[in-house]
Amino acid sequence: MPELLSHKEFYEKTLKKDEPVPEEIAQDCYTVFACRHKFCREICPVYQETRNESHTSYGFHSAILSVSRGIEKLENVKDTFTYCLECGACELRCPNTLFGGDFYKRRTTTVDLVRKIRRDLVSQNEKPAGWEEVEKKIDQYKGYYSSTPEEIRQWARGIEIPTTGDTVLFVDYFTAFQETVTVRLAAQILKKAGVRFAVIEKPGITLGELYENNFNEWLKNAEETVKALEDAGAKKVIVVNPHEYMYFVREYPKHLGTLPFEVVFITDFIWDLIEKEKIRFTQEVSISATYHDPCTLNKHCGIWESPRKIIESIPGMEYVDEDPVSQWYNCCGNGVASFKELHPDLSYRIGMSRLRRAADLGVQYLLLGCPHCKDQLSEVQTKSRINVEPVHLLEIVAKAMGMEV
Amino acid sequence: MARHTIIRYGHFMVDPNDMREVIKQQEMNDEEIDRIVKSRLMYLEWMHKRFADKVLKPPE
Repeated sequence: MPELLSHKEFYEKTLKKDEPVPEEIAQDCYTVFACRHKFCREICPVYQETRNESHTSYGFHSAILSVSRGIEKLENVKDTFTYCLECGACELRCPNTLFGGDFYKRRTTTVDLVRKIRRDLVSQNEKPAGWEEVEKKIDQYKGYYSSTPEEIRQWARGIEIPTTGDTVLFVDYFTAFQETVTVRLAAQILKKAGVRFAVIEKPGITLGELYENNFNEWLKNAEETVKALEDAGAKKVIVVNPHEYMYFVREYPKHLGTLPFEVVFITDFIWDLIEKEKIRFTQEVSISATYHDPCTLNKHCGIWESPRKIIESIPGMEYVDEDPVSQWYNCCGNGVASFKELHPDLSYRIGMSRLRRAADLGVQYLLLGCPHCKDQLSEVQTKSRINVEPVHLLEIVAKAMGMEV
Repeated sequence: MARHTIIRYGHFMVDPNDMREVIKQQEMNDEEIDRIVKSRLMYLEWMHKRFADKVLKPPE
């Protein structure tokens, strides 16, 4: 299992509004401020819409540097830090990462910085504009958490799944209560392939919004989730939501150490089943389609091969590939955590741009690997009527397997 | 370019002793380093496909 560790310990100390910025953070910000390439601009889906340099990795680091030099106050730049999807494009494309990260063993960590500053501001009651929408969403998920195990398991009605076993399908609250189709399909596909798997009764709240609102509360929930999986006997955990997968491989090991089980993303697991001939495609799916790489899979975790291998093995499909590096520029507009609640209009514009790019390829369908992208782009497509239909890859897999979808 | 380099898993890396002041090295595991190297190779291939008419060889 990949365990992708990148950690700057000095990010852990809260940046206080009335105290000097620690020099270590200032120097860290200087390594981005000193860059004149600014590759972080055009690659940023937010900058592509706003054309405002404050909304880039360069802007975020410069803002903190200006606070450290007494030019600006932390509370005056708080809204700047809301303009980040946390898609990870800027920090990957930054020469400090792409061309020097492995050499110097130090890279640009814009997403960690944005999360940290949001958390630090909230902890000092300097909430950015619109933060009440983020708090509402956290409350909504606390409501989900308070539900009975039967209510949490509603997504699987009619499917018999035990609560303990070596292999566990991880179902977070977003896929259990909102985008339920994806995880239900995943369970049906695994059943048809003869995979024996379990689902835990009650995970902790794994919401990205909580991670940047209250770190200790998020950590407590992360510990609860890992313990619930361990108690269920999990040796292998299959994850359907790439946001969750990112937390499992990037964030949990950072704060909880190496996990006591293997974590695998659903497309990697399905491709393995196809190779072992446990999944066979018996039906042609005669559509033209392209694929959208979820940011959390492609930019944060480097998973882009298995979805393409699956798509290319589906009979009858006319597939137009947009390569994973070109897709560093893309995002559905949802973002990893609080962005959509803070900037719904901008989120919509970014989603429209993504759908237009797919429509320009002349395809009927945009295949997705993420339930958040499905939720976001379906909403954007309904409102904008752009002539390309977003559909989750698992729906096409199920059709090709001869299942009723 | 750093004065001292070491070779680790076939890749050049700065001597960690040179990065203990001002800008320090961060916690980063081998899988993360591999991800960066793989992303760089993908990016260079992408660049060459789109923008390079020819690739010059280094002098003999």
